[in-house]
Amino acid sequence: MGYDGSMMGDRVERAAGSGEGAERSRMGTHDTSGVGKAGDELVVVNRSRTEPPETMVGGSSSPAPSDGSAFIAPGGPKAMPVGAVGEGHGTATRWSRTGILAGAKAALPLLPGSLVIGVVFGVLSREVGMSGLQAILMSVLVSAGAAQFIALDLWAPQVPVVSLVVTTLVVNLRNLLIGASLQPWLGPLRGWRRAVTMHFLTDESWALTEVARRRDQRDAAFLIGAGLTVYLGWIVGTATGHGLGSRLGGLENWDIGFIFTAFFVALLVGVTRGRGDLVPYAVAAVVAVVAQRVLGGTWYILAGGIAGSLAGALAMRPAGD
Amino acid sequence: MIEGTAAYLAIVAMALVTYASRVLGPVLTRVLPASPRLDAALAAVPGAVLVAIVVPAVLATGVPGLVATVIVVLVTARTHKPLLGAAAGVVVVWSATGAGL
Repeated sequence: MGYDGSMMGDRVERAAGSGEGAERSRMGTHDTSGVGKAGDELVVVNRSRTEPPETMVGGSSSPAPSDGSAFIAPGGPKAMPVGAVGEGHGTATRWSRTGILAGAKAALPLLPGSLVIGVVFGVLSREVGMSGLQAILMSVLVSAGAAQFIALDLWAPQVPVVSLVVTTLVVNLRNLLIGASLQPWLGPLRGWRRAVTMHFLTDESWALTEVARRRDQRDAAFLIGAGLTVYLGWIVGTATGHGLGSRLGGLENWDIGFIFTAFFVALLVGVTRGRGDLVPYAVAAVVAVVAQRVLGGTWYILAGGIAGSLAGALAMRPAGD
Repeated sequence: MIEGTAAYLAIVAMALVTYASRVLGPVLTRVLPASPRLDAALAAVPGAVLVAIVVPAVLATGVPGLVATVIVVLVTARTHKPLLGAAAGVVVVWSATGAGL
């Protein structure tokens, strides 16, 4: 594995997980009055670090000093939401192939699962009358499992375009939330690089990136790599499943989906900051379970996520600065 | 063929909508006023969303799912290796399925 999950507890240490010769720096304790200082510290560290000659965020290939100043948003360190201890200790500082490889490697455990589920999608797509090209195109362009399976439900000779678009939008609303949660880290990423990178935002790639971020991953392209592995498995699976058709069977007996659930549970351990998370988690859990019964589809993820996020914000102790 | 065109239109429309949902999240945070509470809310999102994804799924898997989840948490917390934890949980569920539970 390219990374480990770690329990945060009271102290956060920068691990040597990013493989770039990361230096160690202590983040201090929970009180947010220390955070501003830590934010300054990180920027100073960025400035003195020699950057490898890879594509730089923002397109500049000049050495470290100008990169350091490029990541201070107007208004100083306060404008850069470093936030409370436990989440990303600052922003991404590069966008390079190293990041893609790190992300791809981290997502490898999900490759078999994505292949299998891709095959299931492929097989079903054939049964509802989609052509191979249409199925593959959907997996390449949309690459959102939930939306695609729902599309299979709605697929008919007279393709209901409006229904498909509306349900796709609704199902994918949670991407707004998870994309937003990465923003403090992705902040400096702009332009075509950002445009390309965000295509690979999925539940899995996002969760992997959040954990890596807490392990001080600084390469924004990690998100691409983390999404790419599942993406490729998904596409290959789709093509294979559609091609082989009904010759494949009996896959539903084994709970393939639990691979993803188990992985998400493991990643949940990795992003947990401490006891303070338990109440927001409980709120999220209750809201999600209730919402799943009351509302249809995947609203419950968005509902639980928002509820837990609000609970976390409300439970926050007043900031020192 | 009209039907074929509608299908490709639908796929492209779905793709655009999906991409919009991926790209606009960060934009929204830039629109909202920055504050420690917003930071705290965003920081709480990962755990909250993961819990929201996981809890209904685990409950749907029944007792084997609950046992597996406990095992995943224990193994991951102890070894700091999500892969190991997840594998342990999957083994539990598949064993239960294989045993006809």
